[in-house]
Amino acid sequence: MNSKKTFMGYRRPDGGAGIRNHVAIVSNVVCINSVVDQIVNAVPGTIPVTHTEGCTRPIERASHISTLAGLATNPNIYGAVVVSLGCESNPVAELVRKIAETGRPVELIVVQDHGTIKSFETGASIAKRLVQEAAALERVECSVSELMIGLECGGSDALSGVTANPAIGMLSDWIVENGGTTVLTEMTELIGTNNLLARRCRSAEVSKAVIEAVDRAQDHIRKILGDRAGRAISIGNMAGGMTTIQEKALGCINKGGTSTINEIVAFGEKPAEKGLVIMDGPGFDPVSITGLSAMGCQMIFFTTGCGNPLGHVVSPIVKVGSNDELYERMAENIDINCGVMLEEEYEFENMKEDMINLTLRVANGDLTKAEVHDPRPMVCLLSWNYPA
Amino acid sequence: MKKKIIKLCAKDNVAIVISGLEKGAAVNLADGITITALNDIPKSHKIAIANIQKGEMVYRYCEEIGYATQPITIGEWVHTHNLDSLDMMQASKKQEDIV
Repeated sequence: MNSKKTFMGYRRPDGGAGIRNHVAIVSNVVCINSVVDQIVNAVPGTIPVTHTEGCTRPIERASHISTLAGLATNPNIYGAVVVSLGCESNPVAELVRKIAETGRPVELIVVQDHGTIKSFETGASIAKRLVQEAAALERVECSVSELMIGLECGGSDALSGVTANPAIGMLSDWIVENGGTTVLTEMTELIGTNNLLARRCRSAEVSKAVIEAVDRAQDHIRKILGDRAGRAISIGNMAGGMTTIQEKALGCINKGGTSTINEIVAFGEKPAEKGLVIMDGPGFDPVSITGLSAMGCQMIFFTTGCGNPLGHVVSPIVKVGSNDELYERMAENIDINCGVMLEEEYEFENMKEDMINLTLRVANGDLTKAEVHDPRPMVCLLSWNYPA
Repeated sequence: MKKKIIKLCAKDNVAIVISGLEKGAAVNLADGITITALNDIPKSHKIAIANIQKGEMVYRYCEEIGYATQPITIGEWVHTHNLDSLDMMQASKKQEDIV
């Protein structure tokens, strides 16, 4: 069994341990995404945090600002250039303040002050300086107890709950045993498992909060599906061998291994506890991974049976495939093939060490397939309008 | 060679069929027990690895995934025709009793 419990990471002024060392160019509103993109294209070492929001939508404003601040202060980020239009309703001063509070360098560019070209030139010049500062940092030894790892599933198939999800469950337990943090989310996928959740939570208080969050997700689904909300699984799920919603949900919960659930946090909120944590968030993967990254996950394990190339700009996504056929179709998008767990002589436990080694390699700087093939995806922010 | 079926957890009374079984096919569980498929069972569906009484809980991942709506014989295909979800209201009520 793997005895190495450290990785070489970047120490941040707020104590965090980054596995990447990016300078974030953050859009405060969709109107100036083009300026962000131009800066990123001109300055290697930067990443764009662009999205489709930033103005009006008063009920979502606080969430969007805290999510953007969370992304810009993820341990993987050295510092940030925030680009504002000027008249948008997202309070840019608050975003800048939240980033600065972590001790990170942050600069603000307001496009209405001098137009696109000057904004780009100024922004690129600042970004270049920040990238040079970041490059001067050296990786130092960090403990796996400092890792926070998101656990996600998307494009699942019937084997996801047999191979890939249990595989990252073993990894999750190992991270937790060694003092680190792992995060389950996608509340809609926990519907129907109240009894199990109650047993798995650290206290009655945590259990109550988790079940309330699942119930909220269920109420949301009920608005769409009616009374079948608590029981319904898709026809595709059933054809694939799933019979009940509990069965589907259990396959999903498996990603969290057998550890105790210590805390539930809001979307993108930093946990106070270590160990296994739940983030209250939707099942829509592009939004979900944004929340995981905003709360501080340095990397995200994403299981899939059908295949999905989705990446994230801040937190490397590790794709865990559930079957050989997927691996044959989409090898360039899958970091590890758990289809091998179905081989006659294969012991399930062997996958644990492979998962640990992969985690440490990615933490030490190995690029994931998603980082190679989808390095600059747009960020999807939480919207009350998303259908869960 | 792929495994034919996988029992995921010690308490389970169903196993997962990996690539489909024809009626009459004999498969071995890891603990040496041989089970004969009583139906054609599709890929990634469930096979009973114990006799299950009507009303008894069906376990996968050592957890309840529902109850048998009719008696299920070892080797039988387990799906919507003989397994149903616990009623959500009942599940919530059970929860209140626990907390």
